[in-house]
Amino acid sequence: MGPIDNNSWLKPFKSLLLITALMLLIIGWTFHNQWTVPKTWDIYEIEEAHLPPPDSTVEIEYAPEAYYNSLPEHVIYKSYPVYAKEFEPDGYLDSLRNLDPEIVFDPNKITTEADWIRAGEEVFFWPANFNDADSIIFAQIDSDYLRGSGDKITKAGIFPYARYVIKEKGKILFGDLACANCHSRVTENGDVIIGAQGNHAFNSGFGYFMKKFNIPVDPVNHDFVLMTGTPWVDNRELIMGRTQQEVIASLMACPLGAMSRQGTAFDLPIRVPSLIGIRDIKYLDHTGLMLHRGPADLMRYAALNQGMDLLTSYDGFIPMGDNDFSELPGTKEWKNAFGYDPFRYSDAQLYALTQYIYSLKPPENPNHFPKELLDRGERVFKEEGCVTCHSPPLYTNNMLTPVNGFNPPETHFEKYDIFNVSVETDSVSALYSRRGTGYYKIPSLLGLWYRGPFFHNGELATLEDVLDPARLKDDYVPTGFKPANMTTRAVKGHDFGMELSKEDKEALIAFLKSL
Amino acid sequence: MNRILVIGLLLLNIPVFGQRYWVVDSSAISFKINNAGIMVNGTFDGLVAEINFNPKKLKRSRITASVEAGSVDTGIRLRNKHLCRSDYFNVESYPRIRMQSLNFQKKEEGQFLGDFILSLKGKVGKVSVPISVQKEGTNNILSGDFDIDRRDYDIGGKSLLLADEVQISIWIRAREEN
Repeated sequence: MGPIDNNSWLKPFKSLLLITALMLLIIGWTFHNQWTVPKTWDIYEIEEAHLPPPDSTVEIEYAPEAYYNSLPEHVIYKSYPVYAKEFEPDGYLDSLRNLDPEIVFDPNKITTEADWIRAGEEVFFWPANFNDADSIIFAQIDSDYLRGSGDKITKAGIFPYARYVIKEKGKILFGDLACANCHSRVTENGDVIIGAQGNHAFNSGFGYFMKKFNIPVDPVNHDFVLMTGTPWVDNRELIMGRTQQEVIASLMACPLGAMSRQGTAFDLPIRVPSLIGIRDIKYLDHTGLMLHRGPADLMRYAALNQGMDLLTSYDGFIPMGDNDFSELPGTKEWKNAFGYDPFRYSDAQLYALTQYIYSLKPPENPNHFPKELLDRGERVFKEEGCVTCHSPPLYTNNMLTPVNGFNPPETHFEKYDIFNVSVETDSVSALYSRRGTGYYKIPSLLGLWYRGPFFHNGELATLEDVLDPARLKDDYVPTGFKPANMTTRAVKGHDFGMELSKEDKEALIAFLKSL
Repeated sequence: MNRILVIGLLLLNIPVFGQRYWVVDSSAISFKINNAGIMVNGTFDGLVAEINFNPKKLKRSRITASVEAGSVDTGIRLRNKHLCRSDYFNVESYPRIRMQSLNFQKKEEGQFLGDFILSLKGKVGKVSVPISVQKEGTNNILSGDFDIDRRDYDIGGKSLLLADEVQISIWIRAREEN
């Protein structure tokens, strides 16, 4: 007979207690982690996630953590729609002047996932640049501007790319450069698709104002150095040498849906990406600039894109730096002529933003094609090999393709997801810009029906153009972006499906528009 | 193991005197693989073969053949280009795909089973190929089909879309010469 266990009566309960304790731990851990806001400015993590430039000798140095932390945080107030002048309700601006400022982002009031998403929506629409609505010329949104720039408004006459902000009673600010500024798309019938490939007339809108108000060229050229200067390309003299006419022509050449954002190649706008469905996308930016392993990476990417990349040193060139782009400005002094007041987002704001972006859903697809056509299109999609890179269900294999002129180093094959062949599209944005990595990411084809123009620089207006073999020839007139100084230009690369029959092309396009 | 196979191959490759050689007149080397439910067909060119095959002297029969890996053609230019890269055939390092016979067995009239060493992308594997040999006038038609697992040869990675099994077909028309 063995020793008597005095606690033997406890045995049946021990397992129960253990299971209960374990469940409590799991529940606690789950909720704890669910609402744990990651740290945005973690230099180690930024470096881990950021792909290096194609020139391996270039050194990238991010703004120090202390510098980042000393930047004041955004205080997010309620914002209000901007109407095109002809559509503005009578007395609208006066009614805004009578409003008290109202803070709408308060992390202490966030308790549920839905709260985070709602709070993130406020961040998404919160501008990063503010000017007096009564005096800033860019606030003059009227029919003349819309005609001159090609910009769009909603059915109700709302200009969805900017917001009025009341930070102080009686004073209306015209705020722009919010996330919504780039990622709002006004459809042909005047609806807005939030998070889609935006179609604000960034370039042509500025070109319109530059011409109308005779904005001098030198400060604009200086700002283009800031925006597109790339030390390993040495393009500063080229940028500074442009005349006002050349700048305006260049700006007007950019189609809606593409833009010259900071860090892109000089005189080569980039297609605005759609954010819908980005939760499942492994790399951010056309060039796969940043790994997307979760909300923390998206927070860092947002922080960089909303100003911190302008405070990053690229081989000693700091786009917003003082002393000829060489020194970080004081944390209360930095002011980009293209916007970005000296604020950074708080970690909670950025986390909320990610939750809102992850929650974005595509609109209902209005296309209804016959099943036989879709089946045929899907078969063509597979036969033509599209399926290999644009694999369902995401319609991307989430990989990077090297561009012509870049051979991935061996270490990249271990660290990144590389589909080791170039599809031979224009490589300039991937090689000769601050966002360049030597790669393009393979884009998802989901939601193609509400996107366009296509290709990295928005050269092709429609899917029909993408499949048109005429685009491969030098006498082609691009239907999307075409440099101002060119009348014709071949749009090369990604020459899949060029030889398909008319019927197969129609079927393939129908299938693509159904995704 | 690979080293032993290579030594074996060298020994087997000793010229055999008194045999009749086949001179290749035309050939078709093709493959099929399922990708996302669709069969992708491809071909290779540049066959170089030494065929010394006598159905009555199978022990003395030898076949060595190779094709240019870089000639792979699936009908899509950029896909062909990708197949030449390091994740597929890596043609820069392994420009030719080789087969070398080890032995033959007669199955029935005109039907044989040949064991071959397949050397593909630096990997060496043994494959058994049912071979048909038929007379066509003064020519011989030699054909055979066999399967390989592409992953055994490090051709492409793990994939949910692309099958592992590749069906390979060989067709050769050759005339005999002394």
